[in-house]
Amino acid sequence: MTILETENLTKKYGNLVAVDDVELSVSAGEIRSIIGPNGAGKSTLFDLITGMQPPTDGRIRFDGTDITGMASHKIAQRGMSRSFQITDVFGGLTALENVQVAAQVDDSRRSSMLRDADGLSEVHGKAMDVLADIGLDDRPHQRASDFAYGDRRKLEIGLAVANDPKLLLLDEPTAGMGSEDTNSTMQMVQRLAADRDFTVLLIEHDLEIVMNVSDRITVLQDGGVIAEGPPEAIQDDETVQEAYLGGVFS
Amino acid sequence: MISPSLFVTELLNGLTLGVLYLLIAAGLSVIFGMTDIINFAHGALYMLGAYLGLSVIGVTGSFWLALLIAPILVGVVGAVMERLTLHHIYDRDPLYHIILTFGAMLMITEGVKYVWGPQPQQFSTPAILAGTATMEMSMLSISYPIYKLFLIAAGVGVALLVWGLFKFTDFGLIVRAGAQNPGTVRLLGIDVSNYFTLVFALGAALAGAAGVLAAPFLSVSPSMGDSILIVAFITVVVGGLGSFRGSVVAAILIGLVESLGNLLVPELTGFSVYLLMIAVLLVRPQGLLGEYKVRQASTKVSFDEVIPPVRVTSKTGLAAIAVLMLVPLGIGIVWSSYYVGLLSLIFVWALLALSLDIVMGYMGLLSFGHAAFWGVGAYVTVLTTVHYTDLFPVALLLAAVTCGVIAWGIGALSIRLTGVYFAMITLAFAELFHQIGVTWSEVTGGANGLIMPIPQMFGINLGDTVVFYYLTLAILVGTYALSVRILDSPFGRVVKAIRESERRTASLGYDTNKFKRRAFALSGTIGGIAGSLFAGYQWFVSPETLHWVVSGDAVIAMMLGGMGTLFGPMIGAAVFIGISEGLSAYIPGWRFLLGLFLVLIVMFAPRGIASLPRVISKSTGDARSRLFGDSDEIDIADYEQTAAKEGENE
Repeated sequence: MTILETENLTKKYGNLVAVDDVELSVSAGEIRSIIGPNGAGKSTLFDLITGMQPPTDGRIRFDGTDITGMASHKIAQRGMSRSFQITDVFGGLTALENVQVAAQVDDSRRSSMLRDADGLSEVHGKAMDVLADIGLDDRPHQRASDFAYGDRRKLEIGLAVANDPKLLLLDEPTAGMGSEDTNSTMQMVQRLAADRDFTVLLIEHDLEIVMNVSDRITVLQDGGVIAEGPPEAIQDDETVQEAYLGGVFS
Repeated sequence: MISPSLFVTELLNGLTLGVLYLLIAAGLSVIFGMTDIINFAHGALYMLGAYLGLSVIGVTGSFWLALLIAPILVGVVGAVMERLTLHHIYDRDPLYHIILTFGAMLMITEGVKYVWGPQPQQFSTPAILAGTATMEMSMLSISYPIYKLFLIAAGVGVALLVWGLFKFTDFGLIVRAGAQNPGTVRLLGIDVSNYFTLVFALGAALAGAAGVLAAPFLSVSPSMGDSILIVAFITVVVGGLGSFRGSVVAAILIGLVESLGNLLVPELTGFSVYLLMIAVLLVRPQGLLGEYKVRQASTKVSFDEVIPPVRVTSKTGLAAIAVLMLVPLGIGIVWSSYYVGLLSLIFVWALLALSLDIVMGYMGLLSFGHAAFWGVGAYVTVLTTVHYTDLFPVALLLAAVTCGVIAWGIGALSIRLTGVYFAMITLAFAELFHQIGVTWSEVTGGANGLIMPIPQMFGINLGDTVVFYYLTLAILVGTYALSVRILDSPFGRVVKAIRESERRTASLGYDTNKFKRRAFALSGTIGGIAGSLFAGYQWFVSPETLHWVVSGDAVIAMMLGGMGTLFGPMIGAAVFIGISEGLSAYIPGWRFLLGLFLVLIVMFAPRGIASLPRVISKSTGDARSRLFGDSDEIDIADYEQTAAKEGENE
């Protein structure tokens, strides 16, 4: 089953074509990586899919619905979640509160003014589960801004999974991490995807990781798709090697 | 039938006004473009320019020297202001900058009153530009003051000069580059921060020049900057923030709408500009020529530390309430009933400051228009008790609901625009209500205001000082408790999340605009309750209650006490009323001190009084932790004790 599909997806800024006629088809349950050199249009593609920017042209279908032009919060409500390349957690709230805000989004009492936010037991339970999954359940009441960088990156992912997504878009989840943290974070993502049963769309620069975790890889260059396939095929693809990998694998 | 001559005359009047607005808006826009700062002191600088021009003429007798020297002096004032204050806090949230420039505005206005006196003064037209020019053509017969024609030419000249300066000089190039990315310019070996000062001086000088140019045909008074500042804000909003071309188009358009609008639709005199603004907001919220792109980080309010509100049921809260409940028992023994009445006034102001804190401290939206709720709440209360029922609670309820609805409406129009935009637009909306209060005299009593019967319900005289004291105390405690509850609710969590990062909150699936509108409506409702009680306090309402000074005072009270704490603004209101009641009798320029106080708070204690116990305990913390071990625990206990003391001092 296809969970995400784009058709002629295009984004132009004046004369610059940031995303050029991209046709993407992601199956439910897969881990799909988007790779490409800097400026290939990866983050812009994410912005289009999540509704944070309107496309110049083309359509986007998510989970059977056309979501082109929909407001980003409506798209999120349909089960699409994302993390950001530059950590964007709620610094002034505690780790638990951060995840609770995400977890209460599906609750009918999410905009109640009179209940105690900590009294929504299902939300609280869900949030604690997420904290346990990302390994921060030992410090639920610490302010997010007081966490070390690596832990804030984990919370960034925690926020994105706490609203029960069907599709999770991760924009360089390991940006700025050392190799040890990078490995453990990616294992965490794989585990979360399997346990919580969501599809992953991943932007990642570390090619070794990409080759290890991805079911399929899409290669972008100058806004357009130049190759797509399973890791082995991409590794052997000459266009990709020439255009992007620059002989790293040869 | 409007004669062609009249029409052309009004057209010229519109152009004159437009050019004047353009000069003011150009300075605002230049400063904003480089520094992301909306300068609330801009109107005061304009006014200062007019007064300095007056003095230069007094000494030299030359209008032309005044036109040269006064703007330079105002530029120097601007530069000094920037160097001493803003220069050191550019890394802070722009909302602090706005509040700081507001403090500077108070200081300049009071300073001018001190030096030149509060009365309006005459500024004579230079001889060479006096008199009128006449034109006779087949259908037209116009005589028009030469001075205004000169103003139009001079304004166009200045605008071209500024445009050329930015377009063709190295200075302009560096400033434009610095506005895009200060870091990169710094890497090129240019000290950008000096250019920030220069740009601020340039913007101030433009305001000063506008002041001198406007002086001969508008009267020179300390309040001349207020109304023009609001029109300048509207100009910038209509034209598009950061777009110089947009400001030019909008300024001329607004000038024409004002003059021709008054001619064609006289009923709308005083309102046409606001209607234009609302129309633009509805159709093109980013302004006619603007692309709305205030830097992402610039709309984010974050606090270094979270100061949780003191709970009503905590020991501190209960102790404070108990003490306050005992106060009236001391009448005639320890103090007179005057002080009990003063405390009621403090409670009413505390409500207003609290309502502001909900949107500012918890959601990161600075409202400079809470006077609208204060005033409308008061008017609704008075009108209800005069015309419909003598039941005060009914009037109170009606005031709360009306203000909630109005706040929701203002929110629906303007809440898409964050940060600096919101501050300007709320100010403009409040001014619109002020205008209604003054003009719609059949209902509001105009400038004289309305007298209200003594508030009562079911035979209880609420006008009695002690009864009213308990009424306001009960409402304040109830509202505070409810606000604490709401900010801890699922809704409150989302509101706080929006303050921390609106983008992230939206990406989780929240319609952030909906939450912002609701929070603003909640704030407006509480503001309306405060206004209603204020009417009940003074048994009278006048357009004063709708004046922007009220909005400013509410911001001062909130900042003084410490925003984002709920109880802080209430303490701030107490201090503010204490200062104003205590000082205003003895020191004529006490608002100067208020402005200075505000500037110092923004600079050195941005979380106000509420943070002082922590600041102090931090500096003595070392000694204490050696004595007691765990310093965190002690900090909190110590802090609660101090808060209790502050409560008692009320």
